[in-house]
Amino acid sequence: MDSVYIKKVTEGSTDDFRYFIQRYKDLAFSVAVSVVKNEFDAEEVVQESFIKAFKNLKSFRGKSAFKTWFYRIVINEAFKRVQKTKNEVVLSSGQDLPEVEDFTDTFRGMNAEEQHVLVAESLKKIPPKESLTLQLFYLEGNSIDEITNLTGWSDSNVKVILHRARKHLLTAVNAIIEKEYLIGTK
Amino acid sequence: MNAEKEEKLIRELMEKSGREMPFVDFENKLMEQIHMEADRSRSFLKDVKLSWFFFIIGSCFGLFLSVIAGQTKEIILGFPAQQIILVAQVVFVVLLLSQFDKLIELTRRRN
Repeated sequence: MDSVYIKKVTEGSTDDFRYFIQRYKDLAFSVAVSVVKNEFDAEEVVQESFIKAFKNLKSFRGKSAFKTWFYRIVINEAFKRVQKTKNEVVLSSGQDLPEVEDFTDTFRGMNAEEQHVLVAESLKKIPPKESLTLQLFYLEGNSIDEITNLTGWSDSNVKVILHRARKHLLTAVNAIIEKEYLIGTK
Repeated sequence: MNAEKEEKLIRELMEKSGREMPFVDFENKLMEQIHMEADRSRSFLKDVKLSWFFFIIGSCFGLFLSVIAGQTKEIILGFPAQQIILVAQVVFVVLLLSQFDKLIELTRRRN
């Protein structure tokens, strides 16, 4: 379906670009916010990415899927924004982190909105590369090879980042749960 | 927590990580910008075409004048016409080459 709309847009039907915005804006926003950690910056990143995709649509040769091509644009724009704002989160490596307690029951006991907020806040606390990798691997279901292709990082680098990301995410979620629940029960 | 349990929990957590664009006017605002971009690109294309048109007209006119003026043997302001024409021809060639280069660059940028 994407190729039909690409043809229409490149032939001059600008209105048909709305199809891509409707289809990919949420995916792009999820990816962008996982890197820039801020909804307003993420909105701008997505906006700039769509404009860039529109300008370069004629040069899209269809060697990869439109989604992959567009993801690369979003990821590049998001990291450019991080560099510009110097907003990077710095954490220690995964090995230095303490063992986390099993908070599965606490998490399952929360309502859907609380769960969303908890995960969003935790992802904000981990470095951009790590939250992006988690997002691509678990939410979008990309393989390590696909993440390598999207980000330009090496295979082993992606694996290391993913390993650290898991540890950091669990630690961040655990810290928030402990803080909130200790405060709530005291 | 063992690795298997950890992996299961992370999958459960990440299922809740999807975000939707929270700005309701995003789509319309962006489409406005896309239309502006399309207009800019169209007018740029028109400008490039016009530039080529005037470049070709100017070059033909310059060549025509050089050939016609080259036949005169008069003295203009105390200088022989041939000398003045030679200077004009050098200026013409320099302008022709530099403008041609700029036009090629513009046309490439369009693509």
